[in-house]
Amino acid sequence: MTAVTEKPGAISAVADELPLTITAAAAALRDGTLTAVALFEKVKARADKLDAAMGTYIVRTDEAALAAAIQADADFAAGIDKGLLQGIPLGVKDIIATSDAPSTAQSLILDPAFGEQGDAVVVQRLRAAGAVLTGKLTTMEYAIGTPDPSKGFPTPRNAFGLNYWPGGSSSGTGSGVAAGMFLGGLGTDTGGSIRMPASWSGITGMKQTFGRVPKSGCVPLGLSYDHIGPLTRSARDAAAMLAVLAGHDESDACSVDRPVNDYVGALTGSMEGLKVGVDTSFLDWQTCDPDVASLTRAAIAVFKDAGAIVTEVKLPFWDELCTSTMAGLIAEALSYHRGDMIARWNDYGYGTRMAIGTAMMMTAADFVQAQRVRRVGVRAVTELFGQYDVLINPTCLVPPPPVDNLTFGELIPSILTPYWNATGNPAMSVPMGLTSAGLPVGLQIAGRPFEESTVFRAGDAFQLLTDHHLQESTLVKEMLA
Amino acid sequence: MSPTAEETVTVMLAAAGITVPDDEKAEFVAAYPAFRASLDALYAVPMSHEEEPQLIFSPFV
Repeated sequence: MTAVTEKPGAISAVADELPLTITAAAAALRDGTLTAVALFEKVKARADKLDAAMGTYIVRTDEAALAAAIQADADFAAGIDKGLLQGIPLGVKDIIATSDAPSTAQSLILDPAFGEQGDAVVVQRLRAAGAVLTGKLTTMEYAIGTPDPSKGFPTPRNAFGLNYWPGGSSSGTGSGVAAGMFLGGLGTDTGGSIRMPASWSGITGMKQTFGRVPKSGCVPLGLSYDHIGPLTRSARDAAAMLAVLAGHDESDACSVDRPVNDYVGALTGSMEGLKVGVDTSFLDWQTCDPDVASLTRAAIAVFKDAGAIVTEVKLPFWDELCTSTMAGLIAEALSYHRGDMIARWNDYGYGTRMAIGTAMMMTAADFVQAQRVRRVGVRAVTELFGQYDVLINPTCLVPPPPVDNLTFGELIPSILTPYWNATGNPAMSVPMGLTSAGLPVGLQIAGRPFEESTVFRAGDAFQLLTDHHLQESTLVKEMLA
Repeated sequence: MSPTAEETVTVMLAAAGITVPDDEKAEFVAAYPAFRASLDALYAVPMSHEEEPQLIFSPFV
């Protein structure tokens, strides 16, 4: 097993002394100070106290999770070690099929037969690695839009303030990791749905290279933009999860057959000599929150002080590539949803039907042009990455918004994530601190295709020099007291 | 004379075969000019006239 080099202190200040990270829990499971069953009981007790208020779960699978924890302990006792995820409680966004629970996509529309296909490939891989899957997590309906309480599903709320949104669409994964209801989980990202909730929940979220992780068994949104990926507290934990999730599978037409790197083993803890491009022009936008601007500048200073070579850059075709993602994904979504939208428009949540319905205003030529622009964008970004190892900017220009009366269209200009769905590059959000109102925001780190190791290296080194990813919510601590 | 946003949205909704409430149609109409402008901007990106789309057909499954 890879040596644990994580900084100390990844244990909750709450009386349950929950290990905050997968890495810390994995070490405790192996040094005999914790069992998988005891770990599961800790996170289960948190869910018992927190979930009703936070809207993290759609369904919990306590019985199956306990059985998996017992098996993990039995394996440890027998000398069987399947890797860092053995015995680790993880959650699954409810648009990914699992054999032990139905899948709803948080929608009245989805045919229940979708959930009867058994485990998605990624879920099979997590189970094979010995993970303890705790249940299915809230999402925006079909991974797009905003919460619609009228449809009978839980409204996800932010661990740092219940009146705030944890981000979406992987909302439950974000809030649950932040609150310690599980130590990591699966989200999906079509325009930012891993990175946005990671940013607004104070945790880490990785959207790896398109095609790196098979997305079969996941309800599609935009088929040429969709990714399944990990949300965790630390970059090191995300690396451990991606090492299990990554790899070719022929069930996904977009899956790429390339060797999987040793993401954890490649962490050096150093940024020395790392060539970092930063586009600070976003910080001058009228929509940029002053706290986000100052926290971004502080994060950049950490990179510089750690020996990274930081240079100002301009990300090419910004507006056009963001349009390519947002227009392209809704067009692909409408092709999937048109029949149901004709028959059952009002059964869709307001935010979902308005977002996907916008694709009705596009032409076929517009869609193809969006795909031509993607090719131009990939070329331009590839040229830029000839000079830089990673490119950084804030994940979102604003802190978490109030959860009530969210409007999808108004949010989009403040979210700096869709650009990397157009190009397919890996991009990760890491926590960069709390605003003056105590709300978390994140820094986005993007890298070259299939060079997730470099992105993880930068994020891990940043987290060795900061404590933002270990920040616990005061509200959660109070609710658990 | 160019059609208004309302005329265009009406036609495109009809072409899609999807019926929406009047208030939601009004939202689509209000949003349409900016959305159309963002799509038109895609045609202004410098590229070869023969540029291929990023999605390429394959004869293999």
